[in-house]
Amino acid sequence: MTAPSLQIITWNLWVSAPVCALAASAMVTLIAGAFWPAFARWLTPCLALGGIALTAAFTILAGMLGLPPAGMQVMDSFTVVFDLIILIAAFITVLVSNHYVTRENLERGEYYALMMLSASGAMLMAASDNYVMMFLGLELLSIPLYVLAGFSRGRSESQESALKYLLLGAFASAFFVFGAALVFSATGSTNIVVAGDATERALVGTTPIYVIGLAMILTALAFKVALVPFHMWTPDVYQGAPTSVTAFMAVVAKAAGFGALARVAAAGPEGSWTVLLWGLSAATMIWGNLLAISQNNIKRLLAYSSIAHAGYLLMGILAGGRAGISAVLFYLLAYAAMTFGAFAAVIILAGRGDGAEDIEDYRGIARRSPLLGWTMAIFMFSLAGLPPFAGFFGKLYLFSAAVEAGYPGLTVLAVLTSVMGVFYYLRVTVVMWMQEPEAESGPAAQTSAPLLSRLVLSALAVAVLALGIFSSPVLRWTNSGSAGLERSAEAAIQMTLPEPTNAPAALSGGSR
Amino acid sequence: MRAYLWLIPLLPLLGVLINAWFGHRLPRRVSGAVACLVVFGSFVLGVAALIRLIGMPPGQRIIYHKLFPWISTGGFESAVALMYDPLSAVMVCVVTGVGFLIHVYSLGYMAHDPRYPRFFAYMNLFTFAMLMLVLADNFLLMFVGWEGVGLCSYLLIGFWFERKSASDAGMKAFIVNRVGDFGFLLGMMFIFAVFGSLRFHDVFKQVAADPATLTLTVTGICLLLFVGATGKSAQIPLYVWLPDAMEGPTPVSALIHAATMVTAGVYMVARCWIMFLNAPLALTVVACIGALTALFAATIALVQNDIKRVLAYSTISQLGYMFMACGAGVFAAGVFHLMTHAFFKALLFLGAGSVMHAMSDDTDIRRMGGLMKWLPVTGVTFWVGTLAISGIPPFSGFFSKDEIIWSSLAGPMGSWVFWVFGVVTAALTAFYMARLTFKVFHGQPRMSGEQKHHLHESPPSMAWVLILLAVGASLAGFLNIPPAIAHLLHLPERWTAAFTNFLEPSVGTHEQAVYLLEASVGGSQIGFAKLAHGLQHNAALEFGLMGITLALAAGAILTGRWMYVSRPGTGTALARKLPFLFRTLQNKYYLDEFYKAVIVRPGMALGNALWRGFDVLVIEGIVNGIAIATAIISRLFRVFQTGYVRNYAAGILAGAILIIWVLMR
Repeated sequence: MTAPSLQIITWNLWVSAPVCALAASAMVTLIAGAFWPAFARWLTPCLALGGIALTAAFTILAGMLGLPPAGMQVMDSFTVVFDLIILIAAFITVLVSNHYVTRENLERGEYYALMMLSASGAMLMAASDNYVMMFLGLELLSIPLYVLAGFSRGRSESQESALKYLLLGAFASAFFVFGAALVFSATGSTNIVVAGDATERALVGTTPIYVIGLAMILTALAFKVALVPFHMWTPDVYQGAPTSVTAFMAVVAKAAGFGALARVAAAGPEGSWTVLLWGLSAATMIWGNLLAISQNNIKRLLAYSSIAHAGYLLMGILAGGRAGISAVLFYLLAYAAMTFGAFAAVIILAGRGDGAEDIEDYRGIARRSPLLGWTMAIFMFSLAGLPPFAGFFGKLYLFSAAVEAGYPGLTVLAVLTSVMGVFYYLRVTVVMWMQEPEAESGPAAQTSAPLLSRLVLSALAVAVLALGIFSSPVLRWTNSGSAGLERSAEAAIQMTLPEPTNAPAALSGGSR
Repeated sequence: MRAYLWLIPLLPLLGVLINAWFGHRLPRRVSGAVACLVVFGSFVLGVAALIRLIGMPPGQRIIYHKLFPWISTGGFESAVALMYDPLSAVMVCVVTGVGFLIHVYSLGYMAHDPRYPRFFAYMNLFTFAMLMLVLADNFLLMFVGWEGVGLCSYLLIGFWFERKSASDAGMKAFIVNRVGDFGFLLGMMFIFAVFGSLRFHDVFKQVAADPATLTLTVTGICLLLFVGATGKSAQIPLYVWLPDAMEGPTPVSALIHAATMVTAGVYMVARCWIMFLNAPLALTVVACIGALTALFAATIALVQNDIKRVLAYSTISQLGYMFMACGAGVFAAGVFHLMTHAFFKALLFLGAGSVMHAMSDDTDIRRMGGLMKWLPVTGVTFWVGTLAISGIPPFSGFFSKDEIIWSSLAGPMGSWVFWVFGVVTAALTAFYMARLTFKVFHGQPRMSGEQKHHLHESPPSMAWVLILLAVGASLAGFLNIPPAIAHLLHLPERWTAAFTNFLEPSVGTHEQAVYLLEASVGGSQIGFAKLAHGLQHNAALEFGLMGITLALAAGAILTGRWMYVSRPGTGTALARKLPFLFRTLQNKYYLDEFYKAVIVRPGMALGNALWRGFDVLVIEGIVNGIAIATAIISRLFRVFQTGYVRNYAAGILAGAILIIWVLMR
């Protein structure tokens, strides 16, 4: 490599500009909340929204510059698409949170700042082509989440949730670090692609040390996205955490994990790697759907539902290639819209103190509030994968990518488990629409909500419908993201090859 | 031009959103006005596009507008794309033009309904779906519109769902339509399997390029598509839902069950003219079903006593005419009748609504009579509709019906048999319409004193709509003056068959039809195609046959007058003399009972058997089994889901070991 010049430093700065912008905005929000507590109620969310919008602008700008890989981080079109999905999710989180934190008296400046920091960690994870940087992202994502999970200090469930998440998260992170160390010791590189490529070039098989390291990294990521059997924390933590934080976790933390998986997946050894992902995906969708059926608490139901969706998403990672990764990105967007929608409705329905969180409490609610009835029906239909909503097209693209990549068996399984999903999603709708409200038994669901919440709810329902109807243009956008991922993997190999190797076939090793 | 094509369906959708979300907060006046204005806006745009179309050279009168790609995965691509050609243009103008008038009429008719905004939201949604159906440039999007109108029909028939008969009728319409839709869906899948595309343009180009080898496949496809058409356009054997659909509010009957939705089947057949001409067998089936339905429904209409039911059977009968024309290979005649029928049938239904309004929602014509005195506007306009549907010149029905009857003989697939069906039906039509009109508006008043006290002409908003529709029903025929008459009167060239000439790029010329038919069957087996070709220009024969039809129709009207005004007892006496025939007709050939015995009851029995045997034992066994298994699994799972962090950590560790084991294997 040539000596580092000033120019490379500037490039590096641009590559990390979006993450820095979001982190800096988080600081501003934090300080503003601390200095003007009187205005915190409206000032902090406004600053958060502004910061997120600014970051989005930076991301688009950085994407347009066409930056080369900077060594640790890449600003390819995958990063751009992924960052924008994360930022959209963060934006919606702020809007959805507003009603909740006000109602539950959680409105401290830290709330939005922590959320933004966590989102910047998610962005860093997906933007890093290096295990060390990815670990940094993982921690930046997780640590604010531990705090947020325990944010309603008054409720012991929240405390329990935070502690469980912290202990298990730390356990999983340890796997990641140790795995990265093993990968480095086996290959001499912490770059994802280079390490994978080095193994492939060096030996006919794969070195055990590298494989064990990779397995441990996968363990940590599987924990983050809640794949079976690493999912057990999910229902407990989702149920206990403040609902708006749960929504954030279900979308952003999961998306971050899949962003990282998309980068790591290409580095896996052939053969056993696909068997492993196949098995994890199958186990996750069966287990998630099966257990969701017997849930009565809506947050636990959505937790298992999020596990099941992780199984579908993993199909896209397994399928890989342009179609698979593009389908994953599309599905993440669709999943974000419908999951946030469902949680936004849950926040309103639960009422002060989160009283009504059982599905049975929703009896006949559609009669009292057609808005909640209709929007919740749309979210549930979409989560169940019924046309013409976003969830249907998301599944369609994932499944067709899997079929084309040669996994018809897994696709059949996915379709069958989707049918199981219809059962519990529609149950929520049936309870809301067709059952009579029972007089004075248990805490009744609430329907009153501020205008902003109702607007957000309607907008999300429209988005779920629009993503279904206009799925093709969106898919073209996510396609550009998956194309970027392929290009970066190739570029990474070429950049670190000091001299032409005498085994040219290995050049394609990075992108399986 | 392209720039605003998409606004045509979008405007009504906007109306739906406004009325569905803010309807209950808006004043009634505003919510109704919004609904009317959006449809009017679509009408204006539709007419503007039509004028633009006429300005283009005849061969190039087609505008494509691809809005966005919709589904693109693997081998399957489908876009949301619109197409505006002469056929779409006619349909758009009819749907929005007549639709707008019916919306305006509803302002007065539904004025006292508590669910006013919802009604208009449904009406706009229906208009949107219908516009998507006729503007689609591929089968998939057309199917979306097709299902959409079916859904709206269900919602609107059952609009007064508190009445059990209304919600039952809605259900019946929905279920019967599902049978037809299934045929359409199968046809569509078949098309994709054979042609690899669902775009009209691609499919038809392939058919036209190679008619000889594709005939068998295309016949299968066309028959499946026609099953869909019989459901939506209420033909034998799937017509049973339409008479019951009269349970809906009268404007709904006028809009959906007379002027627009039921014409979807005819539109679809005309749209697929190349395919149907490539399948002579399917075309014969279309013509036979059409001819049979026309006659069959007309005979039932002879003895019905409910004003709306007479009109419902008359609609079925007229739709049969349209299919007969298509089946004879003259699609333009079918579409022309579709247009004139939209005018006079909407007029008749709205007139009936006006009568019901005056009669406190009574629909039994035995309790009416002499209403002309109280409802002069309704009476006169109703007479215009009656004369139009009976085919009396110079009203529009004369031109369109005459063209159909002539085509049923002279068309490339025409035959004397169809001609006889056509003429007999024309006579019956004139008779039952005369019976209806004379019984309602003339003779002795037979209503109760209470009803008589309330008799009043409808408010101006409704009366004006009737007048406008009457003007349309009178004059629309002049758009398409048959060549024979035009020659006789020395009319300029551009007046001659103007409508047919305009439509021909969309639905083919006589020569194209003959070419395709001959190519499909090898040129020898349809002898009458050549015979018909000779008949085409036989003006003397045309005038002769026209005279026969006209004489029969006029005679039938006069007989009606004699039977129901001059000698009011004759009808009853006749019924007593022919009790068997009368009862059979009165009970609609017992077909509802037949369906009940042959399809519904065995179906229910099968359903019950399946429910007791299969559902309870197997499905519920499985479901309950799963539930029990889930409970067991959950309980087993609880051993892990202890809530103890150490156990969860152990799970993660076990998983990690599993992963390492799989990777190292």
